[in-house]
Amino acid sequence: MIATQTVVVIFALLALGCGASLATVLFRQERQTGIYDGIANFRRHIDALSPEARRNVISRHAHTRGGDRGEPRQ
Amino acid sequence: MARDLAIDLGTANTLVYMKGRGIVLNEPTVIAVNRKTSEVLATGHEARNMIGRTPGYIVAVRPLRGGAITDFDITERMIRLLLQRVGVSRFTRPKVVICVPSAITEVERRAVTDATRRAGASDAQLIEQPMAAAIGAELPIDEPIGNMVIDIGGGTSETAVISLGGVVALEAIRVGSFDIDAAIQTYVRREHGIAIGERTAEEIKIQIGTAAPMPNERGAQVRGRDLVTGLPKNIDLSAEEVRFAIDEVVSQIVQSVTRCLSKVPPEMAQDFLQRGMYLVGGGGLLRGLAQRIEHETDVPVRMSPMPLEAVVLGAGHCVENYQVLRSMFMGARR
Repeated sequence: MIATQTVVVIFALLALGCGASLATVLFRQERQTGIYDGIANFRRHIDALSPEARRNVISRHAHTRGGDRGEPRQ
Repeated sequence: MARDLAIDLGTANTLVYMKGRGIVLNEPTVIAVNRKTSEVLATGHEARNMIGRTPGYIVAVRPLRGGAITDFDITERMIRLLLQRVGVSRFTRPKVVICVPSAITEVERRAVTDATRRAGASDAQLIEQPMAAAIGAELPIDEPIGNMVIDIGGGTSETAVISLGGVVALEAIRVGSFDIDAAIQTYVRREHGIAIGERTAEEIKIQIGTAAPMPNERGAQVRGRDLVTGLPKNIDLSAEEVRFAIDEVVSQIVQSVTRCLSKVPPEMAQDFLQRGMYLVGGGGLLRGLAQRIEHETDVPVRMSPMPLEAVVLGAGHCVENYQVLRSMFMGARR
């Protein structure tokens, strides 16, 4: 009985250890900067500055500009 | 849910952009305070109309000079009032992006962010005015092309060359259109013996001020106080006189543009010759300034279609894309 319990505890601990190791490996892999991350981030940054991306802000302003230029709009 | 904001806290005017809505406030950066009780009596246009016309117990001031906070307490109260006016309450704390001069010191930077956080922002980030101006002026800064922007504000003049979303060269001086007004005041006092207020000087600049000889120049009648008799007096001022009075300030601005051009890598020089440079900011509206810069640098100068709003629109675009464009904020890891 005692021997069975000991084996169960050992296996449980082993399983926990394996799980923790796997989680650590996955976590570290996730955090590691990939070779393409820099390229992707730079692309996103540049795309966000493109005239197409800015068009919304500029056209909204051009649309509302009309009558109350220079006056408080609140 | 708070809507994030972009604020162009300029020496002359303050503009507020609200995410998803556009520019919601545009008014002079002036605050009127009761000296006795420290109560705020007016802000914006109303406070501006009080400048030089207040009784002893009221003080109407511009809390920023040369793009920097001169009175921390008053600036904080002004930002708090601005946020309240655009709907920010104790329970809605937005992220705020503030446009500041690129020549700002670390202490001034902290003063602006602290004032904004205390005024109710959950996060305060700063963006350099020329960068925001280039975004708002619709320049193709996403391409590997040299884009030159000259931002002449009330207290600062900044020239920047931007390519691929980053600053290549930058030149900033703490000289702006308020210095032009001050030069007019000094000239009229010295040459005509009359004292004029800063609003009168500004009106002279707008009406007959030129940075280079222009066709159909005209004069103006100026009213002030005679320094000898103390009585009101009228004088006639010509456009040529005003040009002479402001020449030193204009020269400083033009020289800073020239210095910036000299810092640029040679590959980019041809970009400017083809594309020109772009003027933004209220100071850029001075007649003949574009021609003067063009004449002294041999580079074409173009006026931005929205010179007064370009900075806040650029910062507004960063608010709309807050996560992606975080690296554009001052102090961010690039």
